Amino acid sequence: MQQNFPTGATMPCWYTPDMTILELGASVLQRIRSEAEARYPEEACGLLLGREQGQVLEALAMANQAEDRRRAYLIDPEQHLRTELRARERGLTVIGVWHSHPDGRPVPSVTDTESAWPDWHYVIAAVEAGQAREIRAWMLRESRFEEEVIHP
Amino acid sequence: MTTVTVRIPAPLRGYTDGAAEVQAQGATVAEVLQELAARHDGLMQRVVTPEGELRRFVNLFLDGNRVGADGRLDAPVRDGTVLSIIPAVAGGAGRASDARLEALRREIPEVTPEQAHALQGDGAVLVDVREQDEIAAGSPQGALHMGRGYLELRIEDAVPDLERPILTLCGGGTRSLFAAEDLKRLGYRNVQSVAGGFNGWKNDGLPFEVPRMLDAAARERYSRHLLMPEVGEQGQLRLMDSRVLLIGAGGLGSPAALYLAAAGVGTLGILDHDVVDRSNLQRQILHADDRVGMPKVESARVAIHALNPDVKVNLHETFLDSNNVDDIFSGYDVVVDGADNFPTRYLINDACIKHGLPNVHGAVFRFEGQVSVFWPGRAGSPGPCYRCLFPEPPPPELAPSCAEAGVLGVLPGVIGLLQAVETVKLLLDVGEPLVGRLLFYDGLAGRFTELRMEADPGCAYCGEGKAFPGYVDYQGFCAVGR
Repeated sequence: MQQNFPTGATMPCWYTPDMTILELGASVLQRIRSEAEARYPEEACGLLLGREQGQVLEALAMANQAEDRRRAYLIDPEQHLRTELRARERGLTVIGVWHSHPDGRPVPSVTDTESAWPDWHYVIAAVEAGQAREIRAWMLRESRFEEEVIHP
Repeated sequence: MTTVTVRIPAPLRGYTDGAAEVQAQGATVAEVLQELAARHDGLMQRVVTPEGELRRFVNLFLDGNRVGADGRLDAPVRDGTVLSIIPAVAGGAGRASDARLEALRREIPEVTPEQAHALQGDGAVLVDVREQDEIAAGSPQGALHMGRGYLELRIEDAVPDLERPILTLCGGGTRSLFAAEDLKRLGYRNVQSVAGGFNGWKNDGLPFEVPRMLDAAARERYSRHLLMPEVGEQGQLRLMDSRVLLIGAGGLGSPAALYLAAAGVGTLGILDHDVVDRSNLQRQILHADDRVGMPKVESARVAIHALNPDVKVNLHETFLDSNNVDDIFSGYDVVVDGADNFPTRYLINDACIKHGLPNVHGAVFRFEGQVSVFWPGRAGSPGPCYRCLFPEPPPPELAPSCAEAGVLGVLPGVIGLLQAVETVKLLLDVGEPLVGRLLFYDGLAGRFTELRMEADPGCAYCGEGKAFPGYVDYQGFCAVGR
C-alpha cells in the first residue's frame, strides 16, 4: 500500500489514510494554548479564520458567554457576525471554532456533538491543572465526529 | 419584488454549491427564507423547524441587527438588505443534569435483572459498562466487560450485528442508561438498560462470577495494549499465559526476546549453548559489554528481567538435538527459529511438525532477510513446512553463516522483530499469519517482497496422512547435503 503523509505533520498513532488534514501553524497552536491556559479553569473559545477549508490562518480568542463557563462555551452571535464581516474584508472566512476542555480530554463531548455544525473544523485543547496538553482537531460528518490530522 | 443578499455561513455552503452569498426575494424575513428553501434543498431544514420557527442554534441578522430572537420572522426587508445567517457556536465539556437523566429514562427501555437474565439466555448480549475495579468484585456470568470510556470504540468488534439485542448494566442502573443511549446512537436498534444494575442482579440471586483480571501494575504497563480491541484485557491475559521458545539468543532471538518480554508473554524459553562474545554485541542486543564471557542464556535472563521482571524465563543452556528436543518443545506454544545452522533448522522443523507447533522462521544474510511461519498443523488452512521449501540444505558456498559472510547489525533487528510480530499474532489469534508466504526484506533496496509457497503433498514430514518418520542424523544430513 502506498500513501503520502504530509511532510512535517505529526502522525497520530491512530492515523488512517482517509483522515483529512487541518493546516494549523505553530503560532496558531501557541495562541490556542496560551489562551486556554490563561482562562483555566474556565473553558476558552474562539473562531478559526482561514482562506479555504482545511487551512487555519488565525485563531481568535473570544469571550465565553456561557452561564457555566467551567463546563460550556458560547460565542456571542453579534461578535460572530462582526468577526465574519471583518474576516471577509481581509479575504478570510470563519472555517471553524476552537475551545478548551479544562481537566478533560481533547475529544468532542456529548454537548459538543449536539451543538456541532457539519463541515466545520472543531479544535479542542485539553488543559490539565492549568497546563495545555494535547490539541486535536475534529470534523462532524453525518452526525459523528471524525478526527483530523493537524499539520503545522 | 424586493431582492436581498443572504450570507451563508461555511457549514451551510454545502447547500448553496459553496456560495457564500445568494440572492433571494421576499417582503419579509420569513418570505425570503421560504424562497431560499424552495431553491436550496436541505438548507432551510438547518435554519428553521418544520413549524417555521428559527432553530435554537441559528441566529439571523438583518443589516447587523438581530432578528427572530423573539420567535418572529415577519420583519420587513428592503431592496439591498443583507440577511446574515450566523450559527450559534456552543458546546463544552458538559454536565449531565437530572433533567437529562429523566429524559433518558423516558427514552431508554429498562428491564429487571430477572428479565435481563432470561433475555441473555435467548441470545441478548449483556454488557457490563462499569469500571475495572468494580468488575473485579464480580460481574454477571457471560457478560462482556466494556467500560463506558471505550464502549463505542470496542462494541462493534464484539457485537457486529446492529440488530442483536443488547442489555447494558452498571452498578445501580444510571450509567447503563447513558451507555444504552451511546449504543443507540451508534445504530444498535434493540438496547435496554438493566434497572438496579449489578446490585439488583446480586440481590435477586442471579449467577455472577469474579473474573480473572490484570492487576493495577499490569494495567499500567500494558495500557497501550488494553486500548486496542485486538488485544484488550483478555488478549493480554492470553499473552501472559503463553509460552514461547526462542532457539538462539543471538541476532534474531535478541530483539524478539526483548519485545516479546515487553509485550507481556508470560513464559520465554531461551535455548543457546554459547557464551557472549564481544563480536556478538554489534547486533545481539540482549547482551552487554560487561557480560562478555557469560552464558548467553544467563545474559538473556538479566536483560529480560531488567525490562520486565514478571516474565518467567526458562534457561536451556544446551545444543538442541534429537534426544532433548521432545522434552523441551513439549512445554511451549510457539517456537521462534533464530538458529544459525542448518542441522538445527531441520530439527526445529521436524519437531514442530511432530508437536503441531507453529515455527516462526527468520534468517538473515548481509543486507537481506526473510520471515515466514511454517505450520503444517494449522487448523483450517495449513501451510508448508521448511522441508517443502528446502528439501535439502544448500551447498555451503550458497549459505555461509554470519561468522563467515558478515551481516549488517541492524538487519537481524528488522527480521527478529517481524518474527516477534508474527508470534504475538499467533498467540492472540489475530490477523493473517505468514503461513504459506515468505516475506523477503532487501535492506539495500529498501524493499519487501512476498512469495507465496505451496505445501508439497509428497513431503515426507508434513504430507497429508503421513506418519511422523522420526528424527534423523541432522549433522550427517546437512554434511551430505553439502
